[in-house]
Amino acid sequence: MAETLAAATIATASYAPQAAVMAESLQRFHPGLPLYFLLAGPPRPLPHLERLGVRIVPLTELRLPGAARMLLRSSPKELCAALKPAWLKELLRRGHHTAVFLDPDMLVLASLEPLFEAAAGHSLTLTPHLLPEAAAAPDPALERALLMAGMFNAGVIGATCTEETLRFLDWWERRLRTHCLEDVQRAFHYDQRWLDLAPAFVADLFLLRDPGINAAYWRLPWLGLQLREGAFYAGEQPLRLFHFSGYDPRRPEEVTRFRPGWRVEESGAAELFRLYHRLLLEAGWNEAYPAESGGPELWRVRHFLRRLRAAARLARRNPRLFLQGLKNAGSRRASHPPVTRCGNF
Amino acid sequence: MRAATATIASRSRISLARATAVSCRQHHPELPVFCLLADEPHESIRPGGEPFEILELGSLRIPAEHRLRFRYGEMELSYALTPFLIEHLLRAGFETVIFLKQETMVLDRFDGLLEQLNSASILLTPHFLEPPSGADAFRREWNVLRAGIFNGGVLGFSGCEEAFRVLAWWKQRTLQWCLLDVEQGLHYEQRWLDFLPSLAPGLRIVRDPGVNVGHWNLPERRIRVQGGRVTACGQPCRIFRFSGYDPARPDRISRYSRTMVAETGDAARVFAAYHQLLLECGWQETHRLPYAWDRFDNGVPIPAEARRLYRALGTEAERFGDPFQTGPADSFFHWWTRRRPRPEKEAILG
Repeated sequence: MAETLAAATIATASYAPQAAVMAESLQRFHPGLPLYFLLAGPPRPLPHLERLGVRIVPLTELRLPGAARMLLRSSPKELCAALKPAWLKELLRRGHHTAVFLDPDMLVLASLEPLFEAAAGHSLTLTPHLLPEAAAAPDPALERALLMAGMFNAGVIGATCTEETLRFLDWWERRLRTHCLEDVQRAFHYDQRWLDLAPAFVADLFLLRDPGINAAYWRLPWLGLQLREGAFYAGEQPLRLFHFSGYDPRRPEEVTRFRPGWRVEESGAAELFRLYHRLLLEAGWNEAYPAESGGPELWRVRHFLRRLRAAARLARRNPRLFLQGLKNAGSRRASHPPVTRCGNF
Repeated sequence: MRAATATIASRSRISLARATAVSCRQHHPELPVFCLLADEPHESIRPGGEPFEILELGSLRIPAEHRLRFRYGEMELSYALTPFLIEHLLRAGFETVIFLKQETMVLDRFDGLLEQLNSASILLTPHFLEPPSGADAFRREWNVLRAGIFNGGVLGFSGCEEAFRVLAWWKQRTLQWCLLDVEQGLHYEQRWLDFLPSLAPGLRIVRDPGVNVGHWNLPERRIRVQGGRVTACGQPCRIFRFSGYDPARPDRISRYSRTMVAETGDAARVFAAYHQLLLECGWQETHRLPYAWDRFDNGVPIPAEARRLYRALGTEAERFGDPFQTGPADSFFHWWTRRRPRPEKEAILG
């Protein structure tokens, strides 16, 4: 009989060191918990992950119709995001009652039992970016960014084998097949903006509001992160799962590429980031580690055409904005967006 | 339990508020209905002669209210006032408030909403309860992603600490960003509601298909009319929304939809009833009433550009005092007229 609970992640081979760090930290607190790794790209030996006992699944095993086309036309990030619903469905099909997806750029720092328990008890479990605690220290700039990026973080997803969940995953997969892209002005942000619809579509949706689970840069200002006797805390609660969203090991002095100039030393989480950087190096990450998968990268053509189209949209309003549009298209900081009409509700 | 219902309208939309109030009182005669007038009073709106109790904007005692009136145009102001009105009524002693946005008709009792507010802090209704179907499914979903997952047309708030905390936050956001700019993630007051499930653990999502039926979910709600009773998915249809309905074009369900009333089956009878109700509520006589706050006090119309510039000034604008005043030499009006020779540049960068 299959295990009731399984954890899973997705990454390209270039992200194997991150996945290994996450896997090792998860095993420390949950030995014996099956962890599946979906390799988003051509098959390749991943000795480090294999040594850890991670169950590596090649893309072909998902038997996705049109997978080859997806592989060709998607950037690595788009591909990893778009595969998520099919991957969760595959794990439920393999007999696990509960599947918990975790992004590879995470570190488990204490038991994830509260997350696993919540996930097992509901059709779908998500972690909101904003928590009630944030209302006491509102950050309008962050909220404006979240309106573009999505309410719930797609780095943690709990799914159980219920009809409601499968229906939701089917719908999500359908949408991501055609619209898993970064174009925040048109309300697309990979897989994540679509999750905003989860409260509408899933009656048994649980929002896990534990500040120490899926904590990331967006919670740092009020999290009260502390290191006490070798363990990290979020205020009085243990810090269980930290998400190094946007962290680039090539620039270990910066918290996240989403907020340029925010230095690790000033983040109140310097020890945590230094620990993560050290773990990545130990797991084999180095400057020469291939950033991309090495495929033909046809998606770059698609991305260029999308920028061109976005710039043309701007230029229709003012030709002088064309070059600027080309530079900004797809970026969340495009400076002069035209007001467009959308159905009034 | 003391409950109240409330709506907001400017003078030109007063017939919509009347229709909401009349239909609400027909099914819930025990509930008081308040209408916040987001405009100056007018002789054709007579306190005592209306189906609702009129609240004038001044009675909400919003600090530096003139700034809010100047930042926004007619529709934006009406929408931005939503959290202010709800909070006002809760502070006035009502334990629960059901907010019904203009363009709403009550078709049946909504006791379930009132009961849920005994245990829930906030009630929200999503535009969809399931993925939409049909050829335009993607388009409808995409519109909702940009306009907000929850409809701002039916809201429930109870006077608990959590609700007050959320209202205080929502007020701050609508003060600053109650705008339509979907490319920047803004859709009036409504897009901000997407944050509410994150901020309020006591919030409940209403999954009654008979509440908040509108052009966005009409195909899924399977409207039937039998013996004068309207049902949605076999349940009583309680609250119907007519967002974008134009009585001058009664053949269309909404400005924002290509669907014709004639294509909607039994729902066509609901649209016809609403049309009739609006006419009885004086739509013909009131829909051209001028908006009071779209002119400076010397009669010069306030262009959208001047409002945009005023908003862009942020707190710096406070030095002008009342921006509608044109008398003082250091008024916004004078500052703005002196700037006007460069309007094109402002239009791009402002």
